[in-house]
This record gives sequence, structure tokens and C-alpha cells, in this order.
Amino acid sequence: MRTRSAFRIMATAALAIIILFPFLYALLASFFAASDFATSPARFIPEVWKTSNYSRIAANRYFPTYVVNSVLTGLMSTTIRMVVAFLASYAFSHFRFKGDSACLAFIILTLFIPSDLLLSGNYMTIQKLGLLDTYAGIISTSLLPASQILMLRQYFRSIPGSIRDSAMMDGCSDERYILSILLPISRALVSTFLLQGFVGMFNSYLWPLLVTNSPSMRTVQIGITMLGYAESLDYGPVFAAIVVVTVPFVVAFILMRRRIMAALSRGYMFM
Amino acid sequence: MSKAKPYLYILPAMVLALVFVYAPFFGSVLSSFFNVRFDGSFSSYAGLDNYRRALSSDIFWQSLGNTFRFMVIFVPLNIIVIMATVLLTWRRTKGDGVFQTIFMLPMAIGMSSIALIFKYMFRPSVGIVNRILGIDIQWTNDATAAMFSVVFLGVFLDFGLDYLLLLAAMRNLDRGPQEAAMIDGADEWRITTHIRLPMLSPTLFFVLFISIKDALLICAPVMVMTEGGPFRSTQTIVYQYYIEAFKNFNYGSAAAISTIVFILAFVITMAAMKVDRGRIHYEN
Repeated sequence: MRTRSAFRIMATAALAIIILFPFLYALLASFFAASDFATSPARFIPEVWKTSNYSRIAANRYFPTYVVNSVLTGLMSTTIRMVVAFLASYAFSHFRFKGDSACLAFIILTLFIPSDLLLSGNYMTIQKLGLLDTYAGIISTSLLPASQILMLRQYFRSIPGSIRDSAMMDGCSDERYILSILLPISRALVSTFLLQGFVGMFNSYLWPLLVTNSPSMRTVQIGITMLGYAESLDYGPVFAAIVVVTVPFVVAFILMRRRIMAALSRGYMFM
Repeated sequence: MSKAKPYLYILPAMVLALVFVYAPFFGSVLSSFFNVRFDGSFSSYAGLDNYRRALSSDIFWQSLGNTFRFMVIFVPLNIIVIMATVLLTWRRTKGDGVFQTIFMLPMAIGMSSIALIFKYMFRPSVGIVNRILGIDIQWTNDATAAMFSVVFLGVFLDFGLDYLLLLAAMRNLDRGPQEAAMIDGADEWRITTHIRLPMLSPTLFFVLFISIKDALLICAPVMVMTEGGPFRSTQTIVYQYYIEAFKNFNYGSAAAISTIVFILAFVITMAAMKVDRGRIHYEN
């Protein structure tokens, strides 16, 4: 029994090291000088710890703009998704109306259409609307939270109808019921949705790459592939940039771990 | 007014589904039968010309072949690695949160960030992977090695979510049958293979299905890490669609490719649902 659990711990630790390795390497490489990248055999620990990669990335002409663009589009997309999700799931759980299940199916079936194959069609739409190189264009295709609507609908249906009835009796409006009752009681789920929505937008790649042309509109995940240092084989600033944009999310995921697990246990697909 | 209310509430979601999913979907299927101008308007009916052109192109078959090569390596490796990790860590012990946190972290990093990190780690002569393993594999110059490096990236990208999904499912399994088997004197391994895994199969199957779909559709990680190279050996079918649409501006041909991939995705989904009904052990 003891040897088995010793084996288990060692195997788990080995897997953990493999998973952590890319993070660790990026962190160490963010302190590399250009020469550290070219030595053979490859270096793991920097020869001299060079913090200038961080100051160079902070002083980069575009990097701060990339970060601002990503944060703003992330916040906009997340907020709109939440509003869309609450309105729709409220209607689907609290009202019976003609065509309700057909409408729900109409939304759910979008999950089965691979979005990467819609790039050209959506690109033409955004072009026709004159939204290329705008925040609206960047967030446009991320605004439909289909699986969240499904999840929230299921959750709202588990709330006793008597709560809403008595609130309505006291003259509470639908909007007020959503804001003062539904939102607070579903905050565990909502916080997971918010994180996922923000991460999804912040880290998306293909669509923002297509609909932006000017460097001042690029989001950060595209921007880091175009910083220009790589041409001179000086990757340090690229790794510094990666560390800067990754650390906040690592912290957020660590803080949110239990809630994410709870949401997944409910069958949330995180798609 | 109150009758219109629910429709008003679902309106934003319906409009978004229509404009950004159904319109481009049917638009793309439709344009696969037309010659399409630069601005997306149709110039003339093309019949099956776009499909003929796509299917007679070597690049199309090469990309499709690469995609399936990726799939047959990625899917089993992904499932094995994740199942091994889940089986090693699902028991609640002191400090298990640490491992859980570590194994969840791949979810926290952006695709292009991790693709860049992998790109540098897998450089041939000066890369850290070769040094640590004490090997000299030409990751970027050898077609097979390059494909494996992309597969490793794919496994890393899917690891966090798949792990949490299966971990949550494993921990929520009904204890009853496991305890009954334990009382009957079954050893741990037999309980795992004969009771836990069958009970886990709906979630396992879901993860398997998502892996197959992800493999069919992989594109952006390849773009960042290998740009399809060397010699187009890692260029996948969705990447080829992207190049046709946005590098060659050949919308008709791109639409034909995307329609073919839609059909493949549809077939996989249908097959999955069929197996799902037949063989899978369900709880409740």
C-alpha cells in the first residue's frame, strides 16, 4: 500500500512538472538576454537576470495599447454576454410563449456549428457594416452565450416560482426581479461565466486578427506574435509580454478554482 | 405588452444567432455553388465547380490528410494523458488542491501565448526540450516531428478543461456500487476498471467526442506555432480554408472547403450520438 501511494505521488509530481514547465520556462526566459536564446546546449537559467525585457515591453510603442484593447473588448464582450444571457434565460424559464422551445433550439443549435468556419461569412458582414478595425467588430462574434443561456435557464427553473409570485404581488418589475433576486442568488455561476467570457474574448486569436488592420486596434494575443523582436532573435521581450498578460489570469483561476469546479459539476460545458 | 415581453427578452440572443451564426452558415453553403467576387457578391452560378476544384487540388487532400494524421495521434494521446492524471489525483487527500490547481492552469493561458512558448521550446538545436531530453530531434525541419510538436501543443491546450470535467465527474460518481464491490473484496484496480470507468463513460465519451471535433477543426495553434510547415506538413484543412478565403481571396473555393468540413463535423456528431444511445452506461 505504501509503495503504491509513493508511486502515485511521484507520477503525479512528474505530470505536474510537465504541465508547469512551459510556464516556468516562459518566466525564466523573460529574464534572458538575447545571447541566452542562442547558446547550445539551450539555457534554462539566465546567465545574468535581465529585467530590461520588462521595461522594454512597457516602453514598446504598441504593447500597452494592445493590452488596453484586450481589456476593453474583454469587458464589453463579457458585459453584453451577461445581459443577453440573463434576458434570454429569464424568458425561457419564467414565461411560456408560442414557439418557446423552437426559439431555444434555434439558440442551442448554434453550439453545433464550428465558429472558425464562419470566419469568411462574418468578415463580410462586418465589412458591410463598416465595423472593420473597431471594438464593435472585434466583439461582434463573441456576444452570443448559448451554453450559458442553457445553464442559467436550468438553474432559474430550480428556483421556486412562489418567490417570483410574491415579489410580483408586491409590485416588483421583471427587471428588478432579475437584478435584485436572480443575479445575487446565481452569483457563483455568474462569476464563473464572467471569468470565462472575459478569458474567451481576451485570448481569442483568429477573429480579432481578421477584423483589425491598424496596429493601434490589435488585441494583445495577436500583438505578441508581431512585436518585432523575434526577427533579431531577441525573444526576451516577447516572453516578458507573455508573462505580463498571463499572470493575472493564473491568479484569477487559482482564486476561482472551487467555483469553476462547482460549475463543472453542474454539467457546465465551458464551450 | 406582457405577451410581447418574453419575445423582447430573447430578441438579442435570436438576432445574434441569426446574424453571426445562421446567416454566415447558410451564406457559406450557398456561396459554395457560386463564383464569388472580392466583396462577397455572387457573379455567376458555378454548380459544383468549386467542389471539383477543391477536390482535385493536391493541397486539399494533403491538408485533409494532415488533419487526420493529427487526429489519430492527438485523440488517443489526449485521452490517455488526461485519464492517467485523473486516476492519479481524483481521491480527496490533504493538499490535493495544489495538484488540481496546477492541472487546471493550461486553461489560464492564451492560445497564442502558449503556442509561442512551445515554438521556442521546440526549436531544433538550441531548444530547451531537446536539451532536457538529451535528444536532437529536428522538430521544425522534420514533418513527423513537427506534427508531434503540434499534437503536444494540442494536448496542453485541452488539458485543463478536460481534466476538470473528468475530475468533477469522477468525484460525483455514485458511491454505492463502489462500496458494495469493496465489501465483496474487489481490489482497487478492479473497482476502477469494472465499476468506475463504466460509470464515468458518459463524460469520458463527451471528452472523446470534443477531442475528435477539436482535432478536425484545429487551425489557429498551427498558424502560430509552425505556420503549417515544414513544407505544408502540418497545414490542416481549416487552415487551408483560411488561406483560400483570406490569402487567395477565393471565397467560392473557401466556401466549398468549409461546407465539406461542416459535413464531416456533422457526421462525427451524428456518429457520436448514435454510439451514445447504444453503448454508454448512464446514471439516473
